[in-house]
Amino acid sequence: MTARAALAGLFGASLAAVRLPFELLASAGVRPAVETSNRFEAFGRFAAARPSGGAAHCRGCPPGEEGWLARVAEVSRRPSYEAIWTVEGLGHRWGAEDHGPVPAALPERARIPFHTGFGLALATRAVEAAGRGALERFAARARSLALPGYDAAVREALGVPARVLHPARMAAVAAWADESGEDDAALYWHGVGRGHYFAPTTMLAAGAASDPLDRVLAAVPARSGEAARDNLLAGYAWAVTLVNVRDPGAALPIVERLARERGGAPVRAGAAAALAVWRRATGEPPPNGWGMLADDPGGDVLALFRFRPGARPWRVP
Amino acid sequence: MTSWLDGIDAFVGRVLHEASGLASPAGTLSDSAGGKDVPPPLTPATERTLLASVETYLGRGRDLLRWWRETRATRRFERRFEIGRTFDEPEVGFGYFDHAEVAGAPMPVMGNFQSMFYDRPKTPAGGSAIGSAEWMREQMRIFALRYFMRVSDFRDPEGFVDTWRPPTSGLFEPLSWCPRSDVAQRGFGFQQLYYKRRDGEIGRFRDEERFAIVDLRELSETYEWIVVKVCIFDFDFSAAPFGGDRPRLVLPLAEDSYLVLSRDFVVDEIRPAPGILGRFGLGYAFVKNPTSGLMSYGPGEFDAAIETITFEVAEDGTVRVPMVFVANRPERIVNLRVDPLGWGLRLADLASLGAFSAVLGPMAEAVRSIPGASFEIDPVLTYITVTDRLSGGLTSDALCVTRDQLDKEFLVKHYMQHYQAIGGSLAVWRSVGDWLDEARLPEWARRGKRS
Repeated sequence: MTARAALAGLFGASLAAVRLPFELLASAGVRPAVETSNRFEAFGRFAAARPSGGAAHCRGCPPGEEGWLARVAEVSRRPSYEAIWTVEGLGHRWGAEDHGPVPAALPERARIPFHTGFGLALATRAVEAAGRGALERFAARARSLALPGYDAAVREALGVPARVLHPARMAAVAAWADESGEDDAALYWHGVGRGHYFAPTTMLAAGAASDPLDRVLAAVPARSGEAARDNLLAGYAWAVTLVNVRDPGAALPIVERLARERGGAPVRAGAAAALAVWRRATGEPPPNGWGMLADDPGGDVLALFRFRPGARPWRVP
Repeated sequence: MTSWLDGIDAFVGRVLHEASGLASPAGTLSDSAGGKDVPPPLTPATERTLLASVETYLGRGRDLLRWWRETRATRRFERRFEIGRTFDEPEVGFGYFDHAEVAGAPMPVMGNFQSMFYDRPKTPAGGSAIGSAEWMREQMRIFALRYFMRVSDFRDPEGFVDTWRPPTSGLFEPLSWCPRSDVAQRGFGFQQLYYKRRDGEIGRFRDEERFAIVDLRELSETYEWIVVKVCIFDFDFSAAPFGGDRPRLVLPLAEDSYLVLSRDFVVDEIRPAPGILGRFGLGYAFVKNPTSGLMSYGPGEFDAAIETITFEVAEDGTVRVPMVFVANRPERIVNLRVDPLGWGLRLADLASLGAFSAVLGPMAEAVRSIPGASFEIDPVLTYITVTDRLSGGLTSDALCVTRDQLDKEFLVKHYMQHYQAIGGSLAVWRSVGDWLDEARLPEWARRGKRS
């Protein structure tokens, strides 16, 4: 066993120990514990996703594309909540292991989660490298390596590692995003909001009920404007909704309070976009209890990852 | 954002990122700007080291190739020995120790030569044997020069139970009954990484081109050289110091090696000799791994080494494959650095997740650089030497515990590995009816990628 594997095992055990009380409380129906438990599960399935064998036997000799697609198909047959995070994890691993363009034969339902995971790998690399050149290359790769129409899902991921892994670089990345254009800026802040939901200090702050958004909202530069703030809120609500899609009772109070206190339109739009993503990625309607019907923007994947003022992609039944 | 909370997020986030296995595999991701828009598989510094060394190893390879051709013509080696025996086909195989002039100086070398039967066309009575042989030659020419390097890896059938679970962490894995995807791979997996064009431009192949190795005839026209990474599957090398079924010494030889191919090593000959319709082949010089590790032995660790694989078509269409391997005899087997102070520092860092060095700061570096605080030993060669002395020569004379035996074992392993690789490629070669019909070739043959 290598030191790295031992460390991974130690952390796995530690994480399991941290999760245990939340799992016990969640099983008893304690809402904040349900919500935190869902976050742990989503992250855990994402992190554990692996393709079929081959890579472990030869460094740099990955399994072929057919192997990856077979794994995606296999995972997609699992329960939807498990499948969506695992497919995202496979997309991340595809990007992290540098397999090139997203496979054209990727099933329709897997495309959004695969691209968000793929984007996360590319974005992590870009943020870690730092510098405008790395960010430019990220944007170019997002456009060239994503399937047609799905590059927005890749580009939006930039905000996640900026928020979670390198918060000190958020401002610099934001400056680049602002200069790149309205869409890139919106996508970036949406990703920051989404990443904020998975930041360690947020995850352990007794769930989102304590609403640590003040901290991240304070980091939005004035020059980025209201659009940045709105997209950050939308991204956060997006994450809260999708992670807790099967437990609307745990997440709705959070979403509703955010909508009341921070801004109804972006929060509800973010939640609606997440429900649309769920339906598109699983083929299933969201569980009852969400109190809204989300409009699917069709081929406009960008609309699922950014907030546009005036947009109202939901209907109250 | 509040800086200390940011710091917690960043620290915990990165630790989780690393410990959860989400970090990019070492050597696969970097964001260096380059001529092509795909990250290289090495860090930028390692890549520079590798590329800077290519011409040196190519030059040494040319010297070895020249030496081989001269020596083979005379058939005189300083020491020659049998290393393989087959029971069904008439194969030729021998190993040797000798000295070759490399870079102007004599270098102790070892190697093997093996020639194995590959295929022959089956022509019915009354059919045209000549036509079949010439057809075989044309097929073999394009297979050897364009497709062999793309399809030379293969897998044994994999039995499995369809029970998929997310992999468990290292601590719990021994308790798991979940089936592991133990894919038994054989042969070589080649990936082309870098090139130098005839006009001097050095570049990186695009990721999607990595497995579709260029037609080797382009090494005469377009490229001065290409650098290829090869995964040599199933290259376990073990020795039994105590003999038989007793504990064995397993040397973890690197599976990956870097190779450089140039036109010096490409064989493309029509009717090169009486009785031979054609001779087509590839070869390469080994480039030493740019990063040093525990092993000083084996693929990736040679100071000079070449391999050639040639497909020879006789007038009756029979194909034989002579293979040549020449390498320097390494002076060390294992680079074991004994560094008690350094090990203590690393252990403290591991336990403190890097905080120990961060706190010590420059003092940690000073501790590491104390003269004499660390030294290298080669436990394998030490064992050979010490046992020989203690036994008064018994271990070397009667028990074959010698450096020569170790090298011979390696050559045997190399011989068997290449025998399996070529044998395995036969099914691939036969599976395609017409290698000249590119439009109808399977995707995996054209692109060089399989599941």
